[in-house]
Amino acid sequence: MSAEKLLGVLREIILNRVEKDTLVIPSLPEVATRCLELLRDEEVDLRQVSKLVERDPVLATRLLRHATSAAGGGDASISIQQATTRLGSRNVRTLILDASAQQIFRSRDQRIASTARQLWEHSLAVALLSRDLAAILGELDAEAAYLAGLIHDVGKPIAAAILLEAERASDKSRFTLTADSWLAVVQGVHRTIGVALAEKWHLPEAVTQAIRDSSEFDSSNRHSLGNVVCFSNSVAKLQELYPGTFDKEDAQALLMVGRSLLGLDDDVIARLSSGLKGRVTTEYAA
Amino acid sequence: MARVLTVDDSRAVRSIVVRQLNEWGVETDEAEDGIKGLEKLDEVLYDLVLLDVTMPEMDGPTMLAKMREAGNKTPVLMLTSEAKRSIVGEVMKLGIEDYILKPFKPEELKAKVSKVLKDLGQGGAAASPVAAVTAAPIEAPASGAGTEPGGRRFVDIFIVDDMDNVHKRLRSLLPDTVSMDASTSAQDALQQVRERVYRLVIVDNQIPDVNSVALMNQIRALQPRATMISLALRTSDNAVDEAKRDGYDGVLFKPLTQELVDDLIAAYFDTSEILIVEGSSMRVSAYTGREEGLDRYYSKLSQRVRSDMLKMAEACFDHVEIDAAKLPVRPERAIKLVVDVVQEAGRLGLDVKLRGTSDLGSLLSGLAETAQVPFEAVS
Repeated sequence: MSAEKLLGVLREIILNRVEKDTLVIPSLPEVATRCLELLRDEEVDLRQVSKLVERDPVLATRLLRHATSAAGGGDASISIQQATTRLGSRNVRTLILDASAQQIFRSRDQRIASTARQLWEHSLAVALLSRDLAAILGELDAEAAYLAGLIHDVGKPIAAAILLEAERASDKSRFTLTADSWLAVVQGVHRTIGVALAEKWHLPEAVTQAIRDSSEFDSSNRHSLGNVVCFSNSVAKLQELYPGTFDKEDAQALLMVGRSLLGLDDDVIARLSSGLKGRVTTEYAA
Repeated sequence: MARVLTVDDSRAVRSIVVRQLNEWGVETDEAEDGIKGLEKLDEVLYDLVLLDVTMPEMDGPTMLAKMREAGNKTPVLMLTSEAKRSIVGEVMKLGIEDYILKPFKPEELKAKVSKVLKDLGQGGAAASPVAAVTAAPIEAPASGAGTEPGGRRFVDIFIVDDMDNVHKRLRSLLPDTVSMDASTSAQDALQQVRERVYRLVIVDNQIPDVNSVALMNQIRALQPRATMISLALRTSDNAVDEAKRDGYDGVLFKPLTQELVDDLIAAYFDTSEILIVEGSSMRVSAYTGREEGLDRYYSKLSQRVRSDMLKMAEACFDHVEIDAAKLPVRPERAIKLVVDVVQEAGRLGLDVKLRGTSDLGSLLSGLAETAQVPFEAVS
C-alpha cells in the first residue's frame, strides 16, 4: 500500500471512529469531573470543591502554587480552601482543565514525548495570547479564549498515539509512514478529535466552536473566539513556540490578515509577543 | 505629490478610497479590473497600488503576478474581503506591503497607506503628505491631567483594586498635583486603559476571580509606556522578586502609608527632576509632594547636590551656582541644607553662589554660617 493510500485509510478510520463515538478519547480524571460539575453552579460552595481537590495531590499542589504566586509568592502556608477562595471559581475551573489537558500531552513513547511536550508549550502560548487578545478586544470571554487556545491542538497527541498503536499492531513491512505522512495524518484529523474531546469534557459551547473554527479566519464574525485562537496560533509559531517545522509564509499571511481582521496595531502585537517564551516557561513550571 | 492607483471592481469602494486619499492630499487614479490596472501602470509611475483580489476579467493576484514578471516593483496594498490564508499566502509570495480587510476603517487605510508612502519618502522618491499627518510620538506631560494629540486624556496614576477604600486611601495620600483614576474590575479597567493614557498603573495582585498578572500584561499591551506596579500585602520577603518575575516594574505594599506613597512618587515622578544640572549650574525643581514628605525630600536633595558638586569638582570647575528659587522654604530644613552644601563646597574647593526667594535670602543673611554666601534674590 502506498504511503498516500495508507494515509487516506488511516484518516478515514479515525474520522469514522470520531463520528461513531468509538474513538478512545481520554476522559477527565474523576476529581476533575466532579469539581467541574460543582463549578458549573455559579453559586457553588467552594469548600466542597476544596474537599475534592484535597484528594488529588497533583491538582492540590498546582492550586496552592497558583494561589501563593498570585499573592506575590508569600503566605505559602495557606490551606486548599483559602487557595480556592483566593483564586475564585473561574480560575479554579481553568486550572483544573489546564491540569487535565496537560496529561494528554504527556507520553511515555520516546518518539512523541518531546514533541508532545513542545506542543503543550505551544498550546500554553496560544492560550495566553488568546486570553490577552480577548480581554483587549473587550467583547469576548477571556477565560473561554484561554481554554480554546489550550485545547486547540489537543487532537494532535491523541492522533499521534492512535497512529503509534496502529503501527505496532500492523505488519511493519506494509506499514511504513514517513515523518511527513505522519504529520499529514495528524494535521488532517486533529481538529475533529479536539472538538470530540471538547464535547466529551463538556467544555462551554463557545470553546468547542472556537476549536472547530480555529484553522481559518471567519471574516463575517471578526471578533470571534475562533479568529482570536487562529491569530494567536500564528503569532506563537512565528515566535518559534512550535515543535518542528511549519510553513512560515502561511503563518505570516495569517498574521497579516488577523491584524486587519481584529483591528490590532503593531505595537499591541509586539507587546503581547515580547516575553512570551518566558511567560510560557513560568506557566509550564507552575 | 504621491500618486496612488486603486484597482477594484466596486465603484463604491473606489470612490470611498479616492475621496479619502484626496482628502489627505494624495493624487489618485482608478481601474476596475486587473487588465485596466496594468494599462494604467504602463502609462504612469505610481507610488502605491491598492489592489482587490476578486475581480472580473483579471483578478488581483494575476495582475500582481504580471506586474512582478514585468519587473514592476511598485508597492502593493491588498484591499479585499478575501481572508483565506491560502490566497493571501500566495499574493504575499508575489510581494505585498500589507493587507486591509473590507470593510475597513479610514484610520486603518490612512495608517497603512501612510506607512508605505513614508518609507518611500525616506528614500527620497516621493514626499508624503499623508505621512505628515500621522500621529506624533506620545510624550506624557510632567504631571497632572492633559490630552494626548490623538484625543486620549493623560492621567498620572491608574489603580485597579476591587476595594473602593484602597482607591480612597491612595487618593488621600497623593499630592493634589498628581491625577488618579481607579477601577474595581478587570473589564472596567481595560475599558479605561483603551480611553486614556497613564504614566503609572497599579494592579492589586489579589482581585477575586481575576488573574492579576494576565490583567497587567493586557494593560501593558494597551499602555506600552506606563510603569506597572504590583499592589501586594507585605507578607513575603520575596514579593519584589516575584513581581519582577511576573513582569512588573515595582511593588507597592499594603497597607498604604504616606511614606510608601511618597517613595512611589519620588521613584517614578520626581526623582529625575529633583535637581537639574548643567555645567556648573544647578536648578532645584518645584516640590510636588505633600508636607509630610519634606524631610525625605530635603535629605534626598542634599544628597543629590553634594554628589553633583563632587562631579563638578572632578571636572575642574571652581564654582557652583545654585538656583533655589523653587525650594520650599522651611526655615530649619533650608538652613541645614545650605550649611551642609556650603561646607561640602568648601571641602571640594568650590565657590558657591545662591539664587532664591527673598524669604530664603533674609533667612540666610541672619545667620553667621550663611550670611557671607553670595546670594541673588529672585521673585
